[in-house]
Amino acid sequence: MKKIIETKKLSKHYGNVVAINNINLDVSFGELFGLLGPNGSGKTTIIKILTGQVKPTTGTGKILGMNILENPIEIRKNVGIIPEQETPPSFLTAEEYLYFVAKIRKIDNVDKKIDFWFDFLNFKDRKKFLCKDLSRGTRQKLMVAQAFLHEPKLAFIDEPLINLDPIIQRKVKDYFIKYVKEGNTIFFSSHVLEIAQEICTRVSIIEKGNLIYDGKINDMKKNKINLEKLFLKRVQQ
Amino acid sequence: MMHLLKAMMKEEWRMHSTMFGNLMFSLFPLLIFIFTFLGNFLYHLLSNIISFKNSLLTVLLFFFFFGLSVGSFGLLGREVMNRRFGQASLVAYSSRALPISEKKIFTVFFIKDVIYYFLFWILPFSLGISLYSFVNSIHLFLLFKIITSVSISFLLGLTLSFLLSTIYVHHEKLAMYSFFFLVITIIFLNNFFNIDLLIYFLPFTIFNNFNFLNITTMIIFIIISTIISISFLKVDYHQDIKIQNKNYFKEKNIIDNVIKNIFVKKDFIDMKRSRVSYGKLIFAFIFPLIFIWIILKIFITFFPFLNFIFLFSIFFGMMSSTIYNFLTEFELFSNYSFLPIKVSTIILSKIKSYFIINLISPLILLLIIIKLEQISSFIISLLLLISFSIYGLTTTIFLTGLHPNILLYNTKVFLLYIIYNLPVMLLFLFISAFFPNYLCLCILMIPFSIIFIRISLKKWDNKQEIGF
Repeated sequence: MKKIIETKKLSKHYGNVVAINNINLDVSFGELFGLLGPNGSGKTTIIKILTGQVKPTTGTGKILGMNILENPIEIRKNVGIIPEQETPPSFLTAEEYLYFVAKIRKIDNVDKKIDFWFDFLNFKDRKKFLCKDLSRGTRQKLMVAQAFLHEPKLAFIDEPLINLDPIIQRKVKDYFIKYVKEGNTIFFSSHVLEIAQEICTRVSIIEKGNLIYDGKINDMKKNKINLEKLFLKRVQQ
Repeated sequence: MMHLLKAMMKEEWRMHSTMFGNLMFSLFPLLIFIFTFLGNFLYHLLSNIISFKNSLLTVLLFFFFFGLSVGSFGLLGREVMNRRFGQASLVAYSSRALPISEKKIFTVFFIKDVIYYFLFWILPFSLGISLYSFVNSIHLFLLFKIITSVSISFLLGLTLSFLLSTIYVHHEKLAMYSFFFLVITIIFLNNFFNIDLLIYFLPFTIFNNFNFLNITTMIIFIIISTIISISFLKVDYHQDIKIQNKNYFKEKNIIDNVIKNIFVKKDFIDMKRSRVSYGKLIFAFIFPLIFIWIILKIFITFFPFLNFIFLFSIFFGMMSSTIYNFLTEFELFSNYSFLPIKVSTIILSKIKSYFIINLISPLILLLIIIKLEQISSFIISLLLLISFSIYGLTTTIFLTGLHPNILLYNTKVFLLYIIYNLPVMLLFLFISAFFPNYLCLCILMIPFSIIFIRISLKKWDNKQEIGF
């Protein structure tokens, strides 16, 4: 299958600390790929490198055919990103923030799209609130909305469901599944294994910066492999 | 109590060593010691032209303003740290999670500030001046008077900062009005009654009337102010959630006609909605301006051949470039880094905001020139102000990008900043004194700055964005 994400020997060192080490990772079009790992294992670093926010120490990669070292802005134009920390600007309202992102992304006629997200994620009553006054969950809803506002072909999602209530979690999970079925791709990073097992088509496990497992969820189901047991076994090894 | 004090001392050390680097920060007290020691020799050499009164006043004012800044950082620390390092939490704000009262925590916090800054600033200063007095056999009583006055000056600044912040938290308007009333009173007394208020600066009067009663009264005043601040302390004061009906990015409004750039627009929305920021901008502008005015007034007495208004314009220009530091405090680039934006886009928008805010500088200069009855100097002064403002901004951007508030504390960067700026300032001070007709050459700094800014934008786009 055609690759949407390709990396070759990606490494990132922060001084003496090795955040990721020789990562070779491919993701095909139409996959809902889950990168799983314990806290501090390098998941966020990989997303930041793949989206051109951080330069790798060594190695290279391609996103949508674009080199991550040469085209970071083009890559970020074409993908959606939900960052790990939900930090919309404090003194813009929720609604203003989405218009602000739309202007940065040069999206016209966004009124309907923005209204859709306020309705869909059920936070219409908060759209006139300043971001600093929003709860963490509502800020996370805002970050979900901004990532999909321009309907990208590929979305990078870093721990997106942690602060959401079960009703919204269900809605967002269903949205991700539908989005991938429509031919798009999601790169999903999490340490919540139940969610990964439920929605992902393929998962990789990263520990201390090294990829230690890669497999398809369907194969795991066929072979009656429980993701949680596999994760604990591999990581504890 | 002691374990809390220890934890806070460690935290303060780690915070500074994170900002400045471990070694650099460890060398700070040594540098203060050496500078004080050598500074005294310099003073000795220039003692014919520099009066003891003015030198002492400068030192006392410096420690007073330093105390003020330490106090304000203490209270705004979490906000500053969050802006610089992302999510940060200080021990002082842990009262919600720990079974310790806020008042107890802040009492320890105050004690920590006193001990920490005495060890790192006042003690090296005192040792430097003591070593000099040993070499030059200065009377021990004079030495004792100086060290006591300096300590009182620092403590007074620190206490007043806490007191003002406490008033601010309870009665924001009262604090702002009090501040403006104080500034206007000072200007009024100074201008209309020609009263040199500086000689009434309390630590200075303590030095001049050095006796047990005066010192005790001052210490009691400091203790009472501190007790009031701690008694009325509010850490997380409640703010009502306001609904903002206006959408500045959707509806067409007056701002759109003037400001097209969305990031510039956001800067002004930030300032409008965080009323604190307007206050801070005023503090960031007015305070240093008053400070520069006082220092230059003293400085000009040492070098009477310099033209005060030209000197003031140069320093005012350099100082106004610090508005850029204020503008970059609002957010971290990491808040945008997941969007298709270059670092240079944000820097350019900050430059635009900078010029809009700085439109006030020529007006202030004009008022000062009218007051000093030197209208004929206006054009040259304006050119100096604009040129130095742009040049100062350029060097700041080149050296620090979007992080002047962090990188300027890095000793190496700060030294480079001095190297880039000081010779140019000295050159124009020289020209102003001996060849004033050539002062208009300062406009050459503008095209140079434009080229320099272009280089800086490329530099920061290519550089890995630093995650502080």
